Amino acid sequence: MCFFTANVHAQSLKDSNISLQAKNESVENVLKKLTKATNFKFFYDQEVINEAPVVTFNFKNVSLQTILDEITRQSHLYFNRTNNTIAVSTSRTLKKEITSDNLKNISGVIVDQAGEAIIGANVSVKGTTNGAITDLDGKYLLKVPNEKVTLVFSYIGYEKQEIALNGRTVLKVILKENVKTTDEVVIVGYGTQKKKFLIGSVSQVGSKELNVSPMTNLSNMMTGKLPGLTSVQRTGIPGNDQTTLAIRGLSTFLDSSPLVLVDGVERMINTVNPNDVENISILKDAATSAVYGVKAANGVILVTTKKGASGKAKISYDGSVTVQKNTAFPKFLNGPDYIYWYNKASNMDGYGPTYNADIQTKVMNNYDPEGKYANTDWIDALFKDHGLTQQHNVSASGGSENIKYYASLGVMDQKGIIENTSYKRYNVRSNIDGNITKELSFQLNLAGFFEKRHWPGISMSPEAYQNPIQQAIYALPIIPIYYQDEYTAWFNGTTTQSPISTIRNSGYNNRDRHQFEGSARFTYDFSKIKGLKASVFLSYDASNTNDNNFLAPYSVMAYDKSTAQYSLMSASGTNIGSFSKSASSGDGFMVRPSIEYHNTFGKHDVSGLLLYEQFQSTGSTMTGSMNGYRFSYPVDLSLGTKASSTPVSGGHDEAATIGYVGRFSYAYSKKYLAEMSFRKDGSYKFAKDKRWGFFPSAALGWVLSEENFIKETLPQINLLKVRASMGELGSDNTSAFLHRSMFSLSSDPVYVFGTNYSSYYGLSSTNPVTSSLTWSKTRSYNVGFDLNMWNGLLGVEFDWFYKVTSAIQEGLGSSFPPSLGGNYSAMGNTGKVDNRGFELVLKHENTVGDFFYRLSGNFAWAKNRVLERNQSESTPWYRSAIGNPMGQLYGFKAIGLYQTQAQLDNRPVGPGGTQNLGDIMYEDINGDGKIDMSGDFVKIGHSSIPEINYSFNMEFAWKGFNLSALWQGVALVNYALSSNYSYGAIDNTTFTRPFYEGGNAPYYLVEDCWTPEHTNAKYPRLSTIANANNAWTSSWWVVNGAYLRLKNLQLGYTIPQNIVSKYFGGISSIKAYVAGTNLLTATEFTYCDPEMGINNNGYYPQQKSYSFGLNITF
Amino acid sequence: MKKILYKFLIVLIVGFSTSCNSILDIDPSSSFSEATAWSSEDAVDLYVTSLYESLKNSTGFATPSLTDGYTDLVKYGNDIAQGYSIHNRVLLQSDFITSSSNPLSSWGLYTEIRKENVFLKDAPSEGAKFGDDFLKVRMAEIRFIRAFNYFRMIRVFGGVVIRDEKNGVDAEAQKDKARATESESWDFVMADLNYAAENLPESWNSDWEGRLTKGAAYALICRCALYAKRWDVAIDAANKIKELNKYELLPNYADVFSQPFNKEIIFGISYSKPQLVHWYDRYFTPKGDNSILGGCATPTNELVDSYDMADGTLFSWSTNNSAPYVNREPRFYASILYNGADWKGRKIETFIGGADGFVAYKKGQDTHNTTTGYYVKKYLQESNSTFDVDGSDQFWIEFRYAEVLLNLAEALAEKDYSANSSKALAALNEVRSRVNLPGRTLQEAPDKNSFMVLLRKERVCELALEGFRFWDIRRWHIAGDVINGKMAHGTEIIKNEDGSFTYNIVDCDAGQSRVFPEKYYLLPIPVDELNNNSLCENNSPW
Repeated sequence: MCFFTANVHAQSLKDSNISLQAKNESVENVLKKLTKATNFKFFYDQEVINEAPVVTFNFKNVSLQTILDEITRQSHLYFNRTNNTIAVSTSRTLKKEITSDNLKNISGVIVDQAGEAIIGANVSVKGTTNGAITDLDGKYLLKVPNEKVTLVFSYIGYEKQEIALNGRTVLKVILKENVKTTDEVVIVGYGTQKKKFLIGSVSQVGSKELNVSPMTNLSNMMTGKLPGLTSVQRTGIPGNDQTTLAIRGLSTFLDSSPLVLVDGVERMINTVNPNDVENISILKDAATSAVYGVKAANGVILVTTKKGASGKAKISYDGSVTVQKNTAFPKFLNGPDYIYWYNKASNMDGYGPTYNADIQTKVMNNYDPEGKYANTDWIDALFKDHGLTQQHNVSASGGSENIKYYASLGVMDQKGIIENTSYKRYNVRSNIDGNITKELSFQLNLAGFFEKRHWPGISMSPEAYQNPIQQAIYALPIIPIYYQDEYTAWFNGTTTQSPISTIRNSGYNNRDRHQFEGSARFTYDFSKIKGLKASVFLSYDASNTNDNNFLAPYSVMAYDKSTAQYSLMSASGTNIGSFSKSASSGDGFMVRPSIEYHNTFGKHDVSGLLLYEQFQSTGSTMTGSMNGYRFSYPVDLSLGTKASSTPVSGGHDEAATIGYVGRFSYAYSKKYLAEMSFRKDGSYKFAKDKRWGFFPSAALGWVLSEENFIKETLPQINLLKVRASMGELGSDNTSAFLHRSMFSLSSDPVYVFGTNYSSYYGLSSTNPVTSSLTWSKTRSYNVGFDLNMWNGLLGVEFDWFYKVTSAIQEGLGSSFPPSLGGNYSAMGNTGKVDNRGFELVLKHENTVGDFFYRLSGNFAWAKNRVLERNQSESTPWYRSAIGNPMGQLYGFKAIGLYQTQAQLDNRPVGPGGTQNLGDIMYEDINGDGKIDMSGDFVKIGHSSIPEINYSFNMEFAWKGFNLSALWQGVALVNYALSSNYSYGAIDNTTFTRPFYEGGNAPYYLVEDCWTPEHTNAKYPRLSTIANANNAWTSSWWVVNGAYLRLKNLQLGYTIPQNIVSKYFGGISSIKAYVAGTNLLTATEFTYCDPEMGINNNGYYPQQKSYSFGLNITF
Repeated sequence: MKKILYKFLIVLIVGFSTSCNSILDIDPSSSFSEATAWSSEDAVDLYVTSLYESLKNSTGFATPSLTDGYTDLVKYGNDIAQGYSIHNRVLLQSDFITSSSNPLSSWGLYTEIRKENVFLKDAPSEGAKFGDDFLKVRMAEIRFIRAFNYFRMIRVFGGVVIRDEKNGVDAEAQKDKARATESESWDFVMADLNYAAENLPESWNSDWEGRLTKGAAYALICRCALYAKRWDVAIDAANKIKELNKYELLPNYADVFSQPFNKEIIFGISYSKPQLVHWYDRYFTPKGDNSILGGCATPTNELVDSYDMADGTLFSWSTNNSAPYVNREPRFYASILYNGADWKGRKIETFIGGADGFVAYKKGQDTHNTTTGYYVKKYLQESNSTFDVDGSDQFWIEFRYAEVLLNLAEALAEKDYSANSSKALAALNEVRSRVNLPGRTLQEAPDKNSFMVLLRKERVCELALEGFRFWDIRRWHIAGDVINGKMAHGTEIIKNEDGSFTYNIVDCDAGQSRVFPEKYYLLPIPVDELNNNSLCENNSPW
């Protein structure tokens, strides 16, 4: 909606003093001139006015009425005056002025659901042409014949309401946004597109759906809300939950993370304040993402932040308190049960019971006069009852027609479920839009954040040495937490296990990060050439990260199992105090001049964009470290007493890219749509002759619902559009400068010469030159349709896609003999992968009386195949990567547990470890009498990236209440419980081998292990000894990673306006809600969170949360 | 208005066409290029230094790992500690070594050889500006290092694929290349070493002490020649070393390993705290010094019992069963820690239940106790009390004069014992007389075979724990006799109530016989080479 104001003088439509000439001029221009000439205000819908045919006339000294009548004649627009405002519409309904004096005055205000005044909304008396429109404050005044009539309230983009007056003379009306509208605007690359003209494949989610329940970052908030996006959260560590994002599955075996742009600049997604986000779009096909060229092969995520709207200042407070708990964690044996099961296992191993009756009694009673034994639940002691997160946001927005602002301040404070793990983030933002002159406008977005992550000195990362969670699993439940006033530790002969002391005394890993993000755009709107705009966009981001990591030396009272005595010893992993402090800073600068054109000529809608983009960034790091800390507080570099082997190190880097972009689109009669775009990109990473890439795309669409034959035969169809696109995208996701011969000076001395033992550094050649390396190419095809029927009762969106990525950069090592000593191109553009799938979205929404509901479901399937990959020639066909999906699990095929001596006697040789009754039996695939990896590893499961993602979203609203629930699930996904560790070892874990590394065991495991009394077991032979036979990656350990979970649930209540205004002066709305995430999960292996993906030791479980939140708007 | 449009367009066009492409030409200034490497003499010496690293990585300190652990002399009692699990698997598991998994493979040295080849290819052109004198010495050093690396491969595989710098450094186009014969391979090594011997200096100034010298080149020629069975070459090289008149045996055997830069050392590798240290003490120190990581491998009775009595008579448990560790020859005390030995101000206690106490070897166990009743002493630093935190700076000896003498004795005997017996005995006895053992006589060694038995025993006692035994028994082709079907032994010591000790000889392989099949003399070429180099053939039984 647009409006123009002017000084208001009483004047008449009949004053005959206007001279105006127009030749093929747009109605909008004419109205602007008339505003100048008369001081009348015109209200119109931009859409309506844009579609109106041009007008031609030449009047001298005529009345405004005359001119308006002429415009009506030529353009079929109608004008309706109220005081000094004139509403423009396409219908005649509001045409007549009411003049009679004996009518009743009805007044009121029309607001939207957020309580914001709607300007220019229509009010009319049902069945008449009598009406009015609202003013700048949303107020209306209407004369009606009596107080029994029914009024009709309407406004473009909102649902029409009919309300019977029933004697009231003041009536406040809240109009609901009409989501069915086809005028929805979608954010696309470098601009916006009306949804009805969109022919690419884009999914978008708005702030309301995004912010259903408070979460700590955007990646997790998007889960299930954007069809085609896979978001998997691998752990629950505060500040590092390792959420991976993929659009339409995987199309490369390199990094497949999508490009993330926040307000048009490549930025981190997880540090954006979710409350600042207006919407997020994901660009899935080539038609929409080709404008991002060499970075777009994995799809693009566009995050757009909020802008101010003119009007009175609106201040909002959003706050929430969230309680978090582990989604899943197995219950480990308590002291007495541990002794029972350990002794049983030890008996089965032939060693006899390990723990005698005396210890057993002391543990059982949880009392030992000497204090040496107890019944301790280390897991319970480590995990607090809950984690706690608070979020508070205050935002202000508003402005005048020439300057609009949105400003916000946000705080997020997460305290993990484990002591000393926390994450805090402070966000600030100011987005200002303004007009400098009528032609020149600007936009200035300034944002910044400060994040603070705090972990114990010993890392919480899964698999980290002495990870505290792992220590809690290894520490046996038969010793107390304290002995002689010291923290105890379980000493298994090699390492000490003391989870509580580690959490409290091991020092800290602190990361502080400050980031500034600023961008400005100046747009010049050529008033002489309608639809032509030129703009320059500039952005500058700078960040500074400080890490302070202190590994404190501390002692624990360790219980040595071999001597059954306690002694004070240095805790494993921390025998010397060491501290490192590193500072890294970086900045990025972008310039993007562009020219845009958009105009309509009759039935031809034309637009074009030309753009140049240049991005340069720099980075710099410096790390200092010291050892020999005698005190654990205070700690800094200058307080250490001993130099570390590498006291200081540092480096710097630079990067640059250049792109030229063009996009042209054309629509005929709103029915036939065509678009083509290109990007030429240069990347600094490659050799001069290999750095440029050209990425074109083209798309066609046909809006069938605009065709008369559909309109006439199937009037229930509101929208039916078919779309098709194809194009090429790229990826330069590989190390830079591989084409250069480089030498590196060793960071440490490499050799000692001289009688004085001088340490000498070495300068050595680091890489053979790979001069031919270039970007990889993804060709992408998309076909889809959009359907909307019965005014929203049914909405369908469907997209099918096929992508082939070729020239994927990959290491060539396995195709060259080692005797070349690495003297070959380390990398080549030799990989090829294809990926196909579809997304289906179904929507249904309806209003029954006061009850509104919306149901939507989406289902996405993506399956990839490796077509070409560098692999050793000796790879047997059944292990070949070719033809199989990436991440395919390989392992031995388990065919059961050994149950008879005959099976043992006739077994093939291998695969290592020992074979007894109850151990896993493997199939000799190639029949050579041996079980070995090279001959008998076969496909045993899907990859850990799910092929199918689906979700159901339900929203219900009734009076002030709203309830929404998002169920989200994945399928065709597997993970192995016992498998490859990230550092390459194949072994069991604490979840698959009882007493792993001499530690404790979960109940589910020991209770279902093979024992002579329990042969129909789910897990192999109960034992205290590691058996490599059972540790191999095999089908025995593969579980179905499919799950369905209640991802978000919110129940909210908005206090009725009359109560708010009565009791809370100055407040315009109050909403309170309770919400939760990950509340229910259905999956096969229930003891761990299915999103974990790879089973590993010491992982911090994902969290379920319960929140209470409050939104107050002033 | 139009003006503004034009101006804007001009800015855009200019922007599009000029500014920009040059910003992509980033020079990665956080690392160096060849230009830096050949920019000055100092830079070249930095380059050369980096190539010395592969010599350092060949020592027993590098992992650290004792190759004697693959022989009868040393037993790894710990099967779990990182990196220490392979020795017993090689010895006790007949199918452990395969073409795809071979812990003894040295094929990976080609990565070093490639770097050496790149240096040798660039040196004549890039380094010409530094003059012949400077350049030849550097090229000689690198050719020595390349020869040393090829030597380490040939002794494992026999003939190797020769990759050199002659026609540029072999790259993708040369991927298929057949192996040279073993003899051709030795020819290549000898050519490099002859160049090195010719061009290396006899010594360096004190700042560069520890760089390769003429003596080192002859010592390696002498060692390689034994493998190649080129006896004349070995004799000649040993004599060249004598002619240098620079090296001699130290009077006290133990001093050889504690006095830096002593006259017996022909080439050694230094370490320096805090930056360049090794962790030998951490893993091999007696359990009493480091209960968490120490004691990983310990000397067997096969080694300990080889040390004669001080007067040269054979040690025997039947005659020395009450005080077995008294009155043994000096090398025993310099090499072995035994029950009751003085160590770091205390007595070693390897009796059962002692601070360093014996436990029997059990497969898969994670113990830091001795499984043989002894601990190693050679190369441990007795004065180093912070070895577990700060590491060790004990130097490693790659070549020393005693080895040259023993090599000479062996080459002379192999060439023609009847003609050379007095020279061979003289060389052998020079080594023995240093430790006050009586000289061997022609009566004791009337023929080559009896001489070789004595020589082999001398090498065990003289060179134990220095990385010789495994390669010696392979080159003598006696590994099958020494290892296959045998077990190694230890001494279980029981402390009696009266303070005396009872010694029981026990096997330290948990009753399992060791394996050394015939095919182990030439180990398999890695599968990656065979798959990607169509001309490379595997050794026949594999």
